[in-house]
Amino acid sequence: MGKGHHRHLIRAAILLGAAIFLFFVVRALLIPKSFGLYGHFRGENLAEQASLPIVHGNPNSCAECHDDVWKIKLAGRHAAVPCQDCHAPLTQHVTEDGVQPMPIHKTFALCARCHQKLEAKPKTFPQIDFHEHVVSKDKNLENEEICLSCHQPHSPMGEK
Amino acid sequence: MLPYLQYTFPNDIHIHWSIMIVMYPYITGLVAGAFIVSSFYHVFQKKEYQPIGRFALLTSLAFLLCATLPLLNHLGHPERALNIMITPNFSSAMAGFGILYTSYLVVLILEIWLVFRKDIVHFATTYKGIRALPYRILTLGVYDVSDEAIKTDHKVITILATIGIPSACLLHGYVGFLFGAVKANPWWSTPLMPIIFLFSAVVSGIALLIILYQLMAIFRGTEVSQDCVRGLARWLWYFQIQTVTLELLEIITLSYERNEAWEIIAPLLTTKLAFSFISVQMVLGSLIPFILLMVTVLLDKYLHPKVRNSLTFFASILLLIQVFAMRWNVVIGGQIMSKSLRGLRDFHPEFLAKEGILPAMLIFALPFVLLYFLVKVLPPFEKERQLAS
Amino acid sequence: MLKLPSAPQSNGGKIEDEDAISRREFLTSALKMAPSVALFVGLMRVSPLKAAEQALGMIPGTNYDPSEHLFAYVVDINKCIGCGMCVKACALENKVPDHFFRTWIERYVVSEKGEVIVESPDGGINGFKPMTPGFNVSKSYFVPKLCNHCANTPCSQVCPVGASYTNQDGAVLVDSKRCIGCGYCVQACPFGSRFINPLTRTAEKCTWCYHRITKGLKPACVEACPTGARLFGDMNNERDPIRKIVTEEHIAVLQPEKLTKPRCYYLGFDKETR
Ligand code: HEC
Ligand code: HEC
Ligand code: HEC
Ligand code: HEC
Repeated sequence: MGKGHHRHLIRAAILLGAAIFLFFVVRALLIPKSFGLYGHFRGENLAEQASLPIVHGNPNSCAECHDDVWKIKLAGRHAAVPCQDCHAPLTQHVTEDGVQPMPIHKTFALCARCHQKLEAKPKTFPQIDFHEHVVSKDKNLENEEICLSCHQPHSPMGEK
Repeated sequence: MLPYLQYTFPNDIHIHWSIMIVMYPYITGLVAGAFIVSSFYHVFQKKEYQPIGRFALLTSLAFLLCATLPLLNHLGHPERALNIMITPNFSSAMAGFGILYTSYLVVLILEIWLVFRKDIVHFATTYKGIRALPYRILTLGVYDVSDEAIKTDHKVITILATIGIPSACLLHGYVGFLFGAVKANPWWSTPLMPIIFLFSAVVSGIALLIILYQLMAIFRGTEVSQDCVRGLARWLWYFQIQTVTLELLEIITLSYERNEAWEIIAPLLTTKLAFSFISVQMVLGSLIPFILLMVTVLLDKYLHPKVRNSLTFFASILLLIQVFAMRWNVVIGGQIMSKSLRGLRDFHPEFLAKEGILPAMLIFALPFVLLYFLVKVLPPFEKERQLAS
Repeated sequence: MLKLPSAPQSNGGKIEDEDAISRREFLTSALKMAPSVALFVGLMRVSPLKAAEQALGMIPGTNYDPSEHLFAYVVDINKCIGCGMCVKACALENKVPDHFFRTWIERYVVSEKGEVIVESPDGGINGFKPMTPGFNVSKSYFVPKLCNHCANTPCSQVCPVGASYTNQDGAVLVDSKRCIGCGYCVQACPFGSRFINPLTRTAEKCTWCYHRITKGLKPACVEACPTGARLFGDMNNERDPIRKIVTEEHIAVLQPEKLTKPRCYYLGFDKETR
């Protein structure tokens, strides 16, 4: 290189170096504290994820206050069917402000989700063709609560 | 359509990478392509490209400065964009973006600075007052434009331009890699992807420069250098052939291998992409310019300059469309096909939405506005520079 | 204002002295750089290296230690009745926006000739209705899907900012405060398990209900299943039934050719399932 004729290059290099240096300083300040604690992520996020509110209660959380229904259900064919499937999540019902109304779905749409006859259902699962099942028993499908007239939802084969 | 080709994963209903992500490789492609053209002169010392050597650099810069805009507009949280440099996760190709982008930006700015340094010093000393200020800052306080200094600059320029070629290739090849390395998507996942992206980037860069050069010549009332156009047309033809061959090769391989994904890619190409792939990318954008350029190159001796100019001009416009269509077909096409490989979905671009057509057009117009100002500040063509000095 | 040296007049002859100055200038600037370089290296923070292997202890605010667990999920296709209670429970538990799914159910209907119809109306959140496929059905089944929490996950691999990560207990999670919403992970997941939440504009996915499992509960979908088609457990716990299933039964995973090593296993898997 021509001697003495690269002052501008040196100045440019210093500028560039300064910029890179500044970048690393700023970067170091911007990295979250817990980053890298457990791996290449912000460690605090684990605690944040773990502290999200629980919505659905334990399956037996209803037993506490609805012992009667719980016992009926346990004894019947719906023993394995979770209460919160047919009603709603616990935290909608039991809140800090006391007990809120719990939805009750009395229509056969609820039963249909599980019991409507479908090709894809495992053959061993009790399923019915709604029309056949009800009409053969001289009942009318237009009544949406028809299933409940013969089946008790908490113990469907038990006494009604 | 076949009934068993109608299932898309429920989350796949939304085309998440839309027009903005089409724009992004398109713009970086132009950056890389324009830079390669500038290196014809700055590295390979081909004198016939001297008229556009400097202009190509400015074009590259103008587009580079806008290359992040479509990305920022696309991000769900643009305010966090710098996380990519604060906590880069290097197992992700995308984490390299910050580094590739800035390092290429630095190389490009340095090269432009050195190429134009003589002019910068000239303006800094001849202009008065506020007008001189930007130039004075740009001199960094060194007004040494002796022959020795310029010689040094030339050496450094050659080095920078030489570093610049692989940087530009990396910057754009990386975009191809982003798609080519997604194993979840068989329409993207091929090692050919970065190469196809690169070649088509060069095509788009050359095409853009042919168009801009001729337009500039018309507006400035100067001659179009026939050597330059002739040379560019040759390169354009060459790279176009390479690109289209690779693009076809990829599809032929998929179909010949009876790749499991071919069952869905074939209907994709013949239904949802029939217009943008077959009509635009292959016929309008590849076959026609191929013929136009073949005429330009093979019958060169018999062509009147005006005919040569027009032929290359129209071929270039078609090729710019072709490259855009190619980006579209890759980015959008890959998402039209659900990852269930059992169904295709629809894509209806909106005009006014945040990532709609209008914002895309605005973002694409911006580099041209920038280029206008860059050309004002640093005149790249001989005529203005002679007038100035 | 910046005081810049005035432009020298045409600079022809240069003096020896200038040489010396520029050399000295170069040296001093190099010296000035040295501490900066040291600082620069010091500030780079290579912390992740030290952490990975170390025993980490409880997550603050819980008595749960991720290093003591390694979770697995089993779906028994033979038991699924397609009621969609799991999808509903998931949506309620995690406030999943409408028309996006952290878990969903697919119905496969296959003819004797091998024609396949697959569907998942609104993810199965309202269950399934009878259908007329237009051919003689030879087999038909429901397949619940969710994030596979792959050991070799393509989604966290491609997260450019370290917002998505795989935890020691096997859970693949997303830090919604660092996610930039680029969507690369959505593209990289071969199973379609991720989406960009339109409200938070960040990537979202099944977390195995991390807030539940860290407190010893099961994920909401597992609790909601009336037939036991969904099982969740800890492979590090020798008495956990899931361990027996995963180690002794014939199990399959989705898209094994992608080599993502899912931690979600399927019993009763059919070749049409993808
Ligand atoms: C903290 C005690 C408590 C728990 C736990 C509890 N409930 Fe209740 N629940 C009540 C009380 C008290 C009422 C009566 C409120 C009323 O009549 O307004 C009630 C009412 C109901 C009703 C409506 C009865 C009606 O006639 O309208 C339903 C259904 C119900 N609960 C279901 C559940 C289910 C399902 C669970 C478990 C997820 C549950 N409850 C858990 C206290 C509880
Ligand atoms: C298969 C769906 C289903 C399940 C599972 C279920 N319920 Fe119910 N529940 C119903 C229906 C339907 C009614 C309305 C019955 C009626 O009005 O005849 C009802 C009514 C009730 C009532 C008010 C009337 C009554 O019978 O006392 C309570 C309280 C109740 N359920 C609690 C529970 C609890 C607690 C559980 C879990 C142990 C549970 N339910 C599980 C469907 C269900
Ligand atoms: C969440 C799914 C679900 C819902 C909703 C549901 N059931 Fe059930 N039902 C089951 C399961 C699971 C069984 C047990 C099947 C078994 O033992 O194989 C069952 C069993 C039964 C049986 C006994 C069948 C037999 O042969 O043992 C009857 C009857 C029945 N349900 C009626 C109803 C009625 C009526 C409703 C609507 C109020 C209803 N079910 C809602 C899941 C459900
Ligand atoms: C008139 C009374 C009556 C009504 C109404 C009725 N059922 Fe039943 N259901 C029965 C009796 C009795 C049986 C047991 C004998 C049989 O299988 O028919 C039964 C059996 C069933 C079974 C078990 C079938 C099996 O294959 O094991 C299911 C499931 C069932 N009912 C669901 C329903 C649903 C859902 C409704 C509402 C649409 C309904 N039932 C309405 C009387 C009734």
